[in-house]
Amino acid sequence: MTSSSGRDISGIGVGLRRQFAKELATTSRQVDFIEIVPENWVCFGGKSRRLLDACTERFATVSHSVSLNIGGEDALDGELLEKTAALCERLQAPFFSDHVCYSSVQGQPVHDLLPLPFSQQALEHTAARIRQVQQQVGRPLVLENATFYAHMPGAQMDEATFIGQLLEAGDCGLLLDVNNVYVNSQNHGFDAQQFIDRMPMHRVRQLHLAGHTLQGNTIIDTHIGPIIDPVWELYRYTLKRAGRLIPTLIEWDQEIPPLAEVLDEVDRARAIALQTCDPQEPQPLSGGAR
Amino acid sequence: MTRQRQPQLQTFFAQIGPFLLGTQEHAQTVQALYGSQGKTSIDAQRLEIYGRFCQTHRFEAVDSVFSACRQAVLQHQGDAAWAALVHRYFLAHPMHHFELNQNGEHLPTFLVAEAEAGRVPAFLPALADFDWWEWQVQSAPDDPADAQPDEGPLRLGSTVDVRPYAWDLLGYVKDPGATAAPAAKTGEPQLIVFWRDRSLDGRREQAHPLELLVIKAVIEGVALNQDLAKRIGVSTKLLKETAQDLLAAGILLGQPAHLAPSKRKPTAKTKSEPKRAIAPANRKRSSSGLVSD
Repeated sequence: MTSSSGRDISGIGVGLRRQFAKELATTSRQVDFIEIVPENWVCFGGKSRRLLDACTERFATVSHSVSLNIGGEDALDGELLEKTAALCERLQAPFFSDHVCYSSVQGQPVHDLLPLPFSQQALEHTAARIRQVQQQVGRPLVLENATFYAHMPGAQMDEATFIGQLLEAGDCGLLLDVNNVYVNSQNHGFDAQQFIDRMPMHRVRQLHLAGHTLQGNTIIDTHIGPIIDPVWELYRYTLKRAGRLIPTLIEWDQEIPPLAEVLDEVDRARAIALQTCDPQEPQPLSGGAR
Repeated sequence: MTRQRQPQLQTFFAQIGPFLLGTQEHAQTVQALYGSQGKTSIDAQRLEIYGRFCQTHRFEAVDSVFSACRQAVLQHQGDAAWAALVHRYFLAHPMHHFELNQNGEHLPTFLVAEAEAGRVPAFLPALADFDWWEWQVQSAPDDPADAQPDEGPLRLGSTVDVRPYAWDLLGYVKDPGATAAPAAKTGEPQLIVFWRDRSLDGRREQAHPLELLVIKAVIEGVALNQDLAKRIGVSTKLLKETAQDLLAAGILLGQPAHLAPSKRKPTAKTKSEPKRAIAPANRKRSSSGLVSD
């Protein structure tokens, strides 16, 4: 893997959202790191930039893209890569992340995270682009297992195999979204714990936790609402399986409540992490704040 | 898992692309991707979710920034007309930028042809331009030239722009539901100055003729002195007071030392209300199909 050159993250963090950014910058509650979606921040000046600066000056920060189009056919977006590299440099971010997906077709960004066929050709294609992106940004890329609602035709393997082989072939890290594992397991009828068992834990740099929404017969990864108990259970299982406290981020993207409610989820994750991880080898939980 | 077909990756993108871009129906896409045997599968059914999500993002790209424009279309022509307009816009100007709101940049010029064809109200292109410039002054990247607003020579703030409109858009956007359409301006257009003030709030107000003359003089490097005052037919005191007001508002930047301190009450512009604060549409980490922000 491309070696980290930045300030590493630890403990429990929260995804930065405009709705609570101002309050977060001055909160007295413990937040160990934040994650920003660069597409939503890097093009703006004015008050937006001031808010971003206030938060990133206080908290260790990682960049989490949604438009790198890592599995797509279209050429990589040079401007986005350039801005991501500059952002990571400014933040001293230890890595940058995106998703196992594509997000552009026929030269047009579609602004969604779309599932690839789990095929050997898609794997090799995506792995080559992982290496290219890591080289251009100059930091390790960490890819998240995305939710998917439909299998794409042409699959030659299951999702866990695809992800495991992709990370090896591309030599990159894993952002393991525990909620996504749960959502996919419910939508596609597989065992979530067995999926976790098959993830290469030595490559996991970060975990995600979030809420979701049942719409008809499908669970949609909306990041709305509190995290449900089965996902907390899967989080415990994941930490036990990893044997270490992996930096964990709470996401709440829509119908966003007051910050206090979001940070209650951060506190809950911290409590579970402390209970679950070996007390003989305590992990630094507050080292992220600058 | 659907394993019955193994298209090449290039074929896969070619088959699914038009559906995601809103130019091909679900049924046709399912047939191409999953074939006759797979078209009733749960995967084929759920493919519809992605078409819906991508359509939602096209609305998100314009709904927030062009809120007054959208409201006008809803009021005059209804929801279906706005949906059709957004569809036509993205056919003409496909998404091209990773920052979601930037993809609406061509809507004002697109609407010119739409208005000429009678498909939208005549004032809509101007209203879209107004929406866009409100967004621009709020969101524009910081310019290093603005970093020391009280230092350096007298100059225009980097976000300042003066736009001419043939309708009273300022009156209209204050209460868009109050009138069916903005009042048409007879004779001279309404000149509106857009800028980001010293508190970083976006602002817009009607520009007064003397203020425009001062702005023009600053752009051209003409000294704000007795000669200029005489040339434009105002007192030197009034000329400098106007410049002082523009400095206080953040339209002009630079050292005010050579300007007479203003003792008059601020103009309507310097005491103007901040413009509508536009909450930008954000790319969400998740796919939801729901509009937020």
